[in-house]
Formats: sequence, C-alpha cells, structure tokens
Amino acid sequence: MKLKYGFVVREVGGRSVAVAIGARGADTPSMITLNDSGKVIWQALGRETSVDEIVDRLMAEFDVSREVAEIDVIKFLDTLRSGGLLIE
Amino acid sequence: MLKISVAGIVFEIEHTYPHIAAQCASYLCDGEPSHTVRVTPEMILREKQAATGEVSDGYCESLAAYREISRYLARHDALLLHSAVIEVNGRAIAFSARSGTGKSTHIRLWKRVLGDCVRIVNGDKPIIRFRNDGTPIAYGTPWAGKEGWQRNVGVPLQSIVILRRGETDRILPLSKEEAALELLGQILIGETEGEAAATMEMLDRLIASVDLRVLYCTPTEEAARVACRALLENKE
Repeated sequence: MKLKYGFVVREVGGRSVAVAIGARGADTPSMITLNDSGKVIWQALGRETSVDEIVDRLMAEFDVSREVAEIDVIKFLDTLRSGGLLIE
Repeated sequence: MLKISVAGIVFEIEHTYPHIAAQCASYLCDGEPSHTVRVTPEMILREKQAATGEVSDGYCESLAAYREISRYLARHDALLLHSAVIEVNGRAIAFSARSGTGKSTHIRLWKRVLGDCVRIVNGDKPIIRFRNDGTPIAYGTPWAGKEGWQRNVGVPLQSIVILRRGETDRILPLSKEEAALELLGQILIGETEGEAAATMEMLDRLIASVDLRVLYCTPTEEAARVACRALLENKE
C-alpha cells in the first residue's frame, strides 16, 4: 500500500497538516491532520509498504508495544481509506 | 490585453471575452507587470465543469484567470482567502464560512446596525497580503461573488471570524488549530508542491497575526450587535 496522491505536509496553526495536491479543479483540498504517530505512519506511506513494516517503524520511533502500535496504524489507515487517499 | 493591479501586484491578462475587462474596470493600471496570465480553453472548460448551473464562457474565463493569479500570490507574501471582508473604523474584519452559511446576510445586518461606518472591502474573494512590517492587509479584488461587493482598497486586517449558524448569538475565541482546519478549506492551495507549501506557510503566518473568533449566529440584527460589541470594543 501507499499514498494515492502527492502531499505537502506543513505546520499550520500549530497542527501538522497534509494536503493533497494535483487534484485539479478541486476548490476544497483533500487534507488530513497528523499527530506524532500519524507523522511517522505518513512518512512510511510515501513509498510502497505494509502494515507490519509501519508497525515496526512506529515501535522503533516510540516506546510502545506491538499491540498499541498496531491499533494506531489500523485506525490511521482506516481514516485514509475513508478519505480515498490510499492505494492498496 | 488587460493590465490590472490587485493587492499592489501588477498582472497582465490575455483574454478572449469582454466579461473580465468590464469586471476589472476599477483595477486597470499602467505599471510593469510582475506576471502574465494566459487562460486556455482547457482552463475555461475546467471552470465550467466545476460550476453549478449555467455559466458563460466569459465568466469562466474570469474565474480561471483569478485561479491563475492566486498561484502567484505566495511569492508576494499574499494569499486568496474565501471570505467576506468589511471595514469599520479603518480596520478590516473577515467573515469566513462554508458556502450557504450566510456571510452576505450577516454583512447586511452589520450595515443595518452600524450604517455608513461599515464599508465593504470584498464580498467573496479578497486577497490578504503582508505589509513589510508583518501587518496583514485585506485587499479588494474584482472577484467578489454574485453581489459584486468590492472596493479597490487595502485595509489592515484585525480579525478573522468563522461564521456558524446558531440558535442564539454568541462569539467565542477560536484556537489557532481550529482556525487552521476551517481556513484550509477556504483558500486556493495551488497546483504544484511548491505552490501548496508556500500557501500553507502563508496561512500559518496569517493565523498567527490576527484575532481569531467563531460566531454562532442567527439571521437577526442581534447577531451583528453581539459580534460588533466583541470585535470593536476591546481594540484601541
């Protein structure tokens, strides 16, 4: 799986926001806000990857158990899916 | 060929239809253009497909030209903020909301309550540009929505107010985070990574520079009274 569009991530108003670009003609950009773990998951999705790989990355970055990391990743991927932002 | 100055930036526009020339009548200028905007038939078609209802080619050409103009704004410390801006006592207040919430209605109420103290800067698509000292200035533009409310002026921007419909009228402070989410939906982000990044940086700067509020409002004069009491009184 990987991200469907090109995105730009920036801090806006103290919040990390990813905005899809290249959706020509769309006045309202597709966007998603990222928390700390979201940022790591996001970076991982920049290229083709898997749930396991992302979970490993999250565990390496933060001091969390596999269970906690998995829940985080699955929730986040669900959000992306519902926004139509993921290619699987 | 049309040469206009908007927000102090000179654009040359190559156009086919007379619509945009009439629309830009009070923005014509003689200066050296910073950018040349060319509207292609594909751009016109794109606006037509995105529009709701029947729209003319000339109207779509004008929309496309403004979309192109918006792509250059971040280079000039500016961005297009979809909002209705009024001027009171030399300060500008921008009302932002999703379409259909009642920005125009709310502004009419301000006019009714405060009379001639209230002047419109732009009813729909103003440009906000940072002055060298960092003050954001709200500029009128020829693109002003169906009412066509606009003046060719620049006024220091005091507040951005997010309008939401409410059962009662109350105005509350708005956090920078909430403002970011609301306003990201009210800007033109650009088409390339570079443009989008620059526009988001501009929005971040804007959010840090103005007073931010959310107004829950009814379509009555009381809404304007509540808002104007809060927005005008605690300023010098």
